[in-house]
Amino acid sequence: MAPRLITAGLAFAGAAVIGAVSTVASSDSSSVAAGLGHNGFLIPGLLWVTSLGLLAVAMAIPDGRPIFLAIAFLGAAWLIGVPAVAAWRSLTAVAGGWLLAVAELAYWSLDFRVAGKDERAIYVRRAATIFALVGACILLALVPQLDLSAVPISGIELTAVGLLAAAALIAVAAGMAWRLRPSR
Amino acid sequence: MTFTVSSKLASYAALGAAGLLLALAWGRPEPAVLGLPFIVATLTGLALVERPIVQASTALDRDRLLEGEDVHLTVTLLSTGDIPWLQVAWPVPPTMSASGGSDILGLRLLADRPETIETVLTANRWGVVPLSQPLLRAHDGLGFFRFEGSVGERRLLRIYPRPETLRRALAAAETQIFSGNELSRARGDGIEFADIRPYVTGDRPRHINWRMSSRTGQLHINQMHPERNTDVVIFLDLFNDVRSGGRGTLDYAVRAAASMAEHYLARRDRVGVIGFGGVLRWLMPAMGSTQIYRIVDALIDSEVILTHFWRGIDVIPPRTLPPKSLVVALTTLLDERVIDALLDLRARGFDLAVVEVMAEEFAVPGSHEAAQLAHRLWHMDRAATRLRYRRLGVPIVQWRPGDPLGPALAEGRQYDRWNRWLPG
Repeated sequence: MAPRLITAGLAFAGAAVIGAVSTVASSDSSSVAAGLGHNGFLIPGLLWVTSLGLLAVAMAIPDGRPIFLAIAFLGAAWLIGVPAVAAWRSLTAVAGGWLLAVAELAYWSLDFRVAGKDERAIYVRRAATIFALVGACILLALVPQLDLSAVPISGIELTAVGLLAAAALIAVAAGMAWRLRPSR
Repeated sequence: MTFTVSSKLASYAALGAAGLLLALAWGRPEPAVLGLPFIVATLTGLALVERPIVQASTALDRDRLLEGEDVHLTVTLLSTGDIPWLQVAWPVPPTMSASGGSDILGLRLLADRPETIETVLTANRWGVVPLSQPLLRAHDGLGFFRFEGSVGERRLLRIYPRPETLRRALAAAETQIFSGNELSRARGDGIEFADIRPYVTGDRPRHINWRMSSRTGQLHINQMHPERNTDVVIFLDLFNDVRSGGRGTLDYAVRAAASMAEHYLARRDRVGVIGFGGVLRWLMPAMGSTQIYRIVDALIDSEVILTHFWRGIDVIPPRTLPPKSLVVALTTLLDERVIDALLDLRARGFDLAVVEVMAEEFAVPGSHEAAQLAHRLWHMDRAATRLRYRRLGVPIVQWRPGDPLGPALAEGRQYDRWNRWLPG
C-alpha cells in the first residue's frame, strides 16, 4: 500500500510551511520560545523537524498513528513560536485550519489506492470537502480572535450558550447512534 | 456491514481536547483556537455518518468451463444511500486470474441507482473453485468510519481439465466380452486374420479357406481375432503432489487421466477411476458418454490429503477392479504406499501399466555438493524402483509434465504385451 505521492507531498509542504513560520516567528522576543532562554527558538525548530520525521514514518510504515503526534508537535511549535502580538495571534485560527488540512492530506495519502470509476470526480469531491471543512473551521475559529468585548464571558447568557452546546453534542451523539444501529 | 472507527477520529478528538485543556491550563485562547478545527471536523463527521446498506448480486455467464477458458463475473450493487467511495473486491481464487490484473475497484454508489461491475476470470487449473462473495469497504465522507462486509452469494465454478486428443493409448492384454475396438487374443468372429485350422462339424462355411482346402484336399477354415472392448481402471496417485512455480504433478496427472478416459470411452471400453491417497475415491467402470462426465467430475475433486496411515489395495472395493482389466497408474512413484500397492496389484495378476509423472521436473538440485550428491542418489533410487516394475513385466512410461502424452503412451505400446506375463 504505497502512499499517494501528490497528497503526501502536499501534506509535507503544508507541515514544512507552518513549521518554518513557527520557527522564524519564535525569534521575536514576545514569543514563548524567546522566554525559555537564549536558545529557545530552537524548540519550535526541533518540534518542526520531529513532526516532519513522524510524517515520513507514517508514510513509510504506512500507518496513521504517527500523524497524530506530528500534528500535535506542529501545534506545539506554533504555540511556542508565535509572538504575543495581536497580528500574529489572529493568525492562530488560520494555523488551526492549516493543521487540519495537513492532517487530512496526510490521512488521505494513506488511503488504500484502487482504480475506480469516476476517480477524478471522487478526488475533486474529497478535496472540496476538505477545503469547505477547513474554511468553515477557520471562520469559526476566527470568532474568539475578534472583538471579545461583544462575547459574554459570564452570566446567564454564557450558561445558556453552554447548555445549548451540550444539547447539540448530545443530539449529535444520538444521531450517530441512530445511524450506526445494526441493520436488520 | 460491520463498522470500525478509524484512529483518525480518536486523533482528532484528542487534538481538540488537548487544545481545550491547554487553553484552560495556560489561560490563553490560542490552544483552543488551534484545536477548534479538529473538534468541528469530529462533530461534522459524527453528525454526517450513516451506515450504508448495500445489496449485491453476482452472476456468472456459466459455471462449467475448461482450463484456459474465461468466465464473465458480473456484480450488481444497489444502495439505499449515497456512498462516496465504495471499494469492491472480488477475491480471485489461486487457480484463476483476473484480466486486467486488478481485482479491486472503487466507485461512487448513488442511492437507488444500481452499479454493475464486470470482470473476466481466466481458469488456469482444473478443480472445483468456490468464488467468494464480493467484499465491500466503504468510508464515510471524512474517513472516520470504515464499513466492511461481504454481500451476494457464493458461487461454485467447475473447471474441467482440457483433455489431450490421443490417437492411441496403452492396450489391455485381455479383452472383455462386449464388442469394441481392441483386437482380442481369442479366436472368433472378426476382421483380423488369426490362423487356419482343419474344418470341424459346426464351422460356418463362409470361413472355409478354399485355397488351403484345395491344396491339402481337406477342408480348412480361417480363424479371426474378434474386436472386443476392454476394462480400464485409471489409478491416480493422490498421496503427493510435487509443486513448483504454480504447477504440480497432480495437475498433469489429472489432465492425463481425463485424456485417457476420453480416449478409452470413445473406443467403447469400460473405464473406472481409483483415487488412491489419504482419502480413497473410486468410480466403477462403465461405458458410455455419461461416464466421461462422471469421471471428470470425480477427477476435478482430486486433492492430496496428507496422511501417514498405511494403506494397501485391500481397501479398494473389489468391483472397482474387474478381472482382466487394464490398470493404468498415473503416479510420481514417490510414495512407498503407492509403489507397494501397484506391485501388489501386479502380484495378484492384474494387467498393470505405469505412467510415471516425472517429479524430477519439479525437484531442482541444490548448489551444494552434498545436495547434488543427494539428488543423484535420489535419481538412482528412482531408477531402481522402475527396475522393480520392469522385472515384473510391468511397462513403465516416463512422462515429462508439459510434454504431449501421446508419444509417451506410444512408447508404452511398444512394450510387448505378451511379455508382461513372463514370470518376474
